[in-house]
Amino acid sequence: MVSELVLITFFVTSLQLMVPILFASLGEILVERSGVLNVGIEGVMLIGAFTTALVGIESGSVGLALLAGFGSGLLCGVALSALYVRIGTDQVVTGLMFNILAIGLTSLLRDQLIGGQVGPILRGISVPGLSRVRFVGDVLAQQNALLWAGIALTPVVAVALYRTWWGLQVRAAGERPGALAASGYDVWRTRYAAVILGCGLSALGGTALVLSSSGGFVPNMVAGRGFIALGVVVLARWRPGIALLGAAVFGLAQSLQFLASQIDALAGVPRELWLAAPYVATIFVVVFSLQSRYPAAVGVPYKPGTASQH
Amino acid sequence: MEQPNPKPALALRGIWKRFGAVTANASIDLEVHSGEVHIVLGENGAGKSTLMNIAFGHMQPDAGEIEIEGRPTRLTSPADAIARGIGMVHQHFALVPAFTVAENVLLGSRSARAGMLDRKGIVDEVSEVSARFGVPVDPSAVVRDLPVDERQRVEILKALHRDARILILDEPTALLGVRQIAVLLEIIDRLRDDGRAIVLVTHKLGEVMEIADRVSVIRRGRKQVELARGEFDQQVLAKAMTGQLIVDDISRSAGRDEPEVVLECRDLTVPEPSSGPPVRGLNLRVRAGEVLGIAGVEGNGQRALIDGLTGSARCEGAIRLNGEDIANALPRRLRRCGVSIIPEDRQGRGLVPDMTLAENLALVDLLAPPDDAPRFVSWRRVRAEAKELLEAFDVRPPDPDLPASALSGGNQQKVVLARELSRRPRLVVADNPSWGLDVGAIGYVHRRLVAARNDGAAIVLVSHDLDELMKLSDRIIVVYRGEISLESSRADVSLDDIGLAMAGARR
Ligand SMILES: Nc1ncnc2c1ncn2[C@@H]1O[C@H](COP(=O)(O)OP(=O)(O)OP(=O)(O)O)[C@@H](O)[C@H]1O
Ligand SMILES: [Mg+2]
Repeated sequence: MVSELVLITFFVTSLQLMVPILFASLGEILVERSGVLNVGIEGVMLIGAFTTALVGIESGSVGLALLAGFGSGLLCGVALSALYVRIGTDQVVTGLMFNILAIGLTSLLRDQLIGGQVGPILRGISVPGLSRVRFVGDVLAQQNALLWAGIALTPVVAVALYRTWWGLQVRAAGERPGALAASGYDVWRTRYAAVILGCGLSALGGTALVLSSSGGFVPNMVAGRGFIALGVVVLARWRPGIALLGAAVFGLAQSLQFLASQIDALAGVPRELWLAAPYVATIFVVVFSLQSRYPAAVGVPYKPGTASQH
Repeated sequence: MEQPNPKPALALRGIWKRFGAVTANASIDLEVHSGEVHIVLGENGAGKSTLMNIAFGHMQPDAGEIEIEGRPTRLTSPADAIARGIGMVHQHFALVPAFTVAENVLLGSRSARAGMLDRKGIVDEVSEVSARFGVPVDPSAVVRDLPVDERQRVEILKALHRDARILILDEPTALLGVRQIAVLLEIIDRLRDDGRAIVLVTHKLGEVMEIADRVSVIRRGRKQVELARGEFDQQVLAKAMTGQLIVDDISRSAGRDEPEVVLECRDLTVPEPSSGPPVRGLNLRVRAGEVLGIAGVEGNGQRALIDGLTGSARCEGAIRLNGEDIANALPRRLRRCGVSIIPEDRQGRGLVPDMTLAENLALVDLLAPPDDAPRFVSWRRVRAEAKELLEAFDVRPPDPDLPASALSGGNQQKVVLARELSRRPRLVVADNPSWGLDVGAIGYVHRRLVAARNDGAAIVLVSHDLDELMKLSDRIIVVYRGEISLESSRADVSLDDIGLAMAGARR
């Protein structure tokens, strides 16, 4: 029916597509748990991707490119948290504006600075033991370090949120900031930390896009993956472990088009249908996760001194 | 009791605080020494919580100074206050509903917390604290699932656990039953002997008489008088609070001979309400012009009964309102049938805090409009009607454009009453309608409820406060473990009987 090679390629692409969404979702989980909705995640990923490509091309070093991507995310986080947290702007509008700004800015700078050049990329690494297993070994042989980093990061984020005092603080900021303040913490500081760190992680999603493909930057190359991550976070009920599964499902959905093109029986189905699959899946997921409850204070800026309205 | 230090542990001097046109605090002085209980009394909206919030760093005063142990201090946030050894029990809970009791208690602990969270460890730690102070809580329960009185205990425990030297309690007894109040007063007594300074806000004059070393009375943002032990009695305090003597004048009209049964429950079972333990196989009847009082130690099914009656939980068996079956009816239909609900949690279910008073008053009619209602809302009319209602129910200030959250607790309750009782209900379900209110407001609520009764409404009244039940009820039932352990007309029952039945003894 379908050759093994086709299947291997299908899973290889799926995993590659999963990684950016995984990083973005983990970052967004941190941000939302602290009571902030970062609609600007798409822009953060775009800026992360561009910075990675730029530094990669200029320095020739993958390591520097990766660090630069992460760093650009932290900077986005600083700017966004100033707006979301300190000034208390409307988070949806601010995020959308940030996305538009990021598209314009990265496209402009690309034309000015790097054009179609490409930089270094991450090579696949072989996993001892696994590489000799049939099929699985072949799929994994082509995966780079970011896949493993993302998978390793998932429990780290979960532990940080559920098993540390810092996580308790972050979740309190997202549920009932007034109670956190009454307990003697600075709500703003807690949210700054979560937003900045979360944006750093989300930007790594953009970095992964660049370092796992050509090493260059294409305008608007994030193409809605940030929004998909917003959906994955809801589907995952703000739990990193489920977000990993969710990201995998979206990876598979995105590479369906490739699989479909290899199956004769499906030749009649228009290609656009497969392209739409991940987005349709997002909508389904959001509809069917209606029951899931956002952290109670998400999207509501906290103003100190309103003790009566905890 | 040890001799108080010459320097007060906490001193507020000349505190001013304005909110727009409202002056909540006008040059208020308040001192409390170590080993002393200073009680702050005042009507709803007098400015007590505002003063306490300033002392805990939630708000900054417009003018005035704060001294701790004689040293001038600026408290820019609760963190400052906590660092200086102040603990506060908030009137409106400052707890994270999604967290467990243990997580809430330890979130506020004073010792720096970092690194890993030891889930089992914190549960044990909180159990230990809870045992040490004799404040019973279940450390692994989620706060969201707890009834209000238990949440209050969590707040108390949170402050106690911090080992605060200065303890501010903003109406901690409002939700507690007689026994729990006695327990709390004992705890406070011990803390005082321990050399702590305690500021206690309350409405209940009885408590004042019992433990106050010193009482300050605040009225309309100004301090009226400060009295030391021996200088006050209940009459003096009531007069200072309200500016007049309170007369307890509830006139109930004699019941008619055979009034019709308005509410009848047969074999009512509410199997698993989210709010607590179930009730099983309850039979009860309430006639027109009758108040049925329901007593019971919290957690014996009164929540479930209310949830069943008000359509908030699935139930089995029959509930008939004037013969019509309303079991499991949606709240909207209940409203149309003339059921009014006065919920315990006035900031959660009673009102939408961020909406204006006019909107809050109109809400019920908008969601369940009478058949002849016009299709569009005339806000001009709604506001005019709201203004009239607010004045009629003595809400201060009677401004329909104010958000509900800007009112004091007592005034918020008056808004709920205005909405629920002005509609000439056939059945009123009132859940602790007077908790947290001052004597004047309680008297007001009582008069309104009795007036509704006299007008022929059937009233189901659940209350922690036995005095309230004895005063208002025509008949009283006691629930114990989800069943009725006593049913009697008020005239034939004593407080002792009720107490025994609440503990499970059957007559
Ligand atoms: N954040 C706020 N914004 C505007 N007005 C406020 C605010 N907080 C309090 N007020 C007003 O200040 C006055 C004092 O309120 P406060 O809550 O201190 O009263 P209280 O004595 O604690 O009453 P209660 O016994 O009902 O709790 C009230 O008129 C109230 O409406
Ligand atoms: Mg108050």
